[in-house]
Amino acid sequence: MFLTYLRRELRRRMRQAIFIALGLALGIGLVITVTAASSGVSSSQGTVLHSLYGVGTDVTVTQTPAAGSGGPARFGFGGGNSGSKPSAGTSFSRSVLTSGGLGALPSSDVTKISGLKDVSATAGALTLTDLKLSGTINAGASGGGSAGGSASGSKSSIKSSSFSVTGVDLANGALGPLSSGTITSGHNFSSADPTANVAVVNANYAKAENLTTGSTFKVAGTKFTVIGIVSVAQGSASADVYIPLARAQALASMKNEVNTVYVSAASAADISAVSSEISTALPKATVTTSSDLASEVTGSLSSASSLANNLGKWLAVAVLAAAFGLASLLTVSAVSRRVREFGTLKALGWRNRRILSQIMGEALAIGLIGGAAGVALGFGGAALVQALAPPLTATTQTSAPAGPGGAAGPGAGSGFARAAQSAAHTVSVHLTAPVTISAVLLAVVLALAGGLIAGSFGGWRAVRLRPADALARVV
Amino acid sequence: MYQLTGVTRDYQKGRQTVHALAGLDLVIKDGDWLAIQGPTGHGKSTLLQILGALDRPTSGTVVFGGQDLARLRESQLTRVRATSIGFIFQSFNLIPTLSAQENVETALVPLGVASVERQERALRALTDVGLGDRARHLPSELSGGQQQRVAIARALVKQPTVLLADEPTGNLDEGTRDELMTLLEQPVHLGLHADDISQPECDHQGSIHHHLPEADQPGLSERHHHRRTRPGPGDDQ
Repeated sequence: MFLTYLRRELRRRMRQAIFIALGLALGIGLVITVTAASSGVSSSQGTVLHSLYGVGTDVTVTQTPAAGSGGPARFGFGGGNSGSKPSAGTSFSRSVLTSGGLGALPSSDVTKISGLKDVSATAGALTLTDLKLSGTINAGASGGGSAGGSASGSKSSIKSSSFSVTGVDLANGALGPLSSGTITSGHNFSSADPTANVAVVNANYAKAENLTTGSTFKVAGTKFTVIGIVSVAQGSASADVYIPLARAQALASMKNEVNTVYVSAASAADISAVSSEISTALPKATVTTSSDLASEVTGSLSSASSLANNLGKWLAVAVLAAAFGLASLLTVSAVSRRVREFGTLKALGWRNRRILSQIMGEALAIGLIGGAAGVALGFGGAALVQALAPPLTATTQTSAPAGPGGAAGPGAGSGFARAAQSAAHTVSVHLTAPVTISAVLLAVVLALAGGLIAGSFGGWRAVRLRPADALARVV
Repeated sequence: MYQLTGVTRDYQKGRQTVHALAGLDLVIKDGDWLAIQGPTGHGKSTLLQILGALDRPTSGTVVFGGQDLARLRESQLTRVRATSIGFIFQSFNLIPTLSAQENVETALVPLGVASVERQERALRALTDVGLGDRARHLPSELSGGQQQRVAIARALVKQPTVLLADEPTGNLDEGTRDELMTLLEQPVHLGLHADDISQPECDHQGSIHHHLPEADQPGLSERHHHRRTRPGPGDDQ
């Protein structure tokens, strides 16, 4: 009798039942879509962080450069001193490795960090830019050692080109910038290479410069041989060229120095502990954890993140609340229209409990139908988000740009400064919107809740009914 | 069967208090057939509701089946209704979404009857009122007379101690009315014991008057027919 009565009543109220179910479906579908988009954004952020800092890095340590320090980038002309005025007509071509906006950390600091509790691995690296200037100096150009150039009169024709070079710690290859790529040709560094002029080249750079395994090219004027090509994730920030750390240190005149330390914590729970330990050990260093980075990320990825988390969540909650409210209102009105029916059943001896369970059953059935439809809508919505979302970009500044110190070079100041600016990494990721089991379970819970709430309101109305009132005729 | 003593029922109607019943004393014996007549709005429905354990009096006692209905809790009243009282309403009051047979079954649901037995008994009751072939019809597919017959079957399927009918033929045309009254007056056809419903021949007539407090209100008059019981033909059907 219970199911028969339930089925018949839902069939009688089919349009209203479908309406309520649709409302619930919309709310639940939205919740699932937003949850999926949110988790997609989080995993995209994870991808961004991984590609920027390599898999396994939990904490990075850098140093803001002191004025005038940070990879001396001195271009010597003529006699090799800055400040001496070059003669007109001199052509030159120099390339140097500069540390950009990152200050230097002594290698001993790397050892210090690896000795800390909860640190499972460390790797030091030198993130550098190979900057090449070539051209001719015209007469009348003012020389000088000032950056920014005080070029008056005719400009010199100077070309600049650059590519990024990272010196990697071969002993700790699993950590750091090279770890997120895959070798597509040749091989990675072996432990025999620390002092050799060998390089692993980024596949994109190799293509642009026509390099293959075995080719040679120059880094800071020194010939290097390509031993392998590495492919990194589309758009991920990485260097163009990787060379052994020792060689980078030598060529950049930064012996026993690094400008980035990658640290991996023993477990995710230890990350903040490690971070504070490092800050204590190295008070002047900048310690950044992966969660700090997440907040520094700008670009459409972070906009998507706040969109999903704020607007998306509130919208979903609002629609769901509206759906619940609507379901409750319609259930109560349906019960009101069945006053005579319930009064009769009470007169026949039906207990309140029995009538209540009938009403609850109807509401729950509608809720479950709405929930099922909502899950379907949710999957559809998530797929739509994934299909329609443009690739999202994320940009982070690795450190405050402070400009190279001590730049010299006539008229080349501004261009030089631009080229040697600290790295701003931009990563592009494609948004996924995965619907998880927990999202589906959430939908089921919401559907049942909707049914229960609506049923309770209706049931309360029915229980309050006195059979005498229900059956009363006009007196 | 019923013993009412000093039964009063007051209603709040806006700011006024309506005294629907004032100090009613009434005895109804087993086998009696009681017809309550009077203009609308003078306590007929109220009395019926109190007799039917649908309502409790403001004061007084209503002894039925050894219990004072006036003192019972709502859940206990519900139990009394489920087991002992059969209702027939003027407007039939069938559940519109259930078939004739299912409607009859609703009377047996609170008694916890197993579903197979429930369906059998319902079908038998429908057959007894001549609607065995319409068991699967919805109320909307039945005429007024047929709907009331379903209601009668529903009222009687649980073999109640008392059958209360509130203007059962009020919504029916004359021909159907006669048909139905004949039905109600044929206990044999309804599968009842002869003791439960008397034959309608009246051999004694008395009337009870009771006065309402307001002098200008006409009193509720009840004709109390005493029926003689005699066994009908084939009463073991």
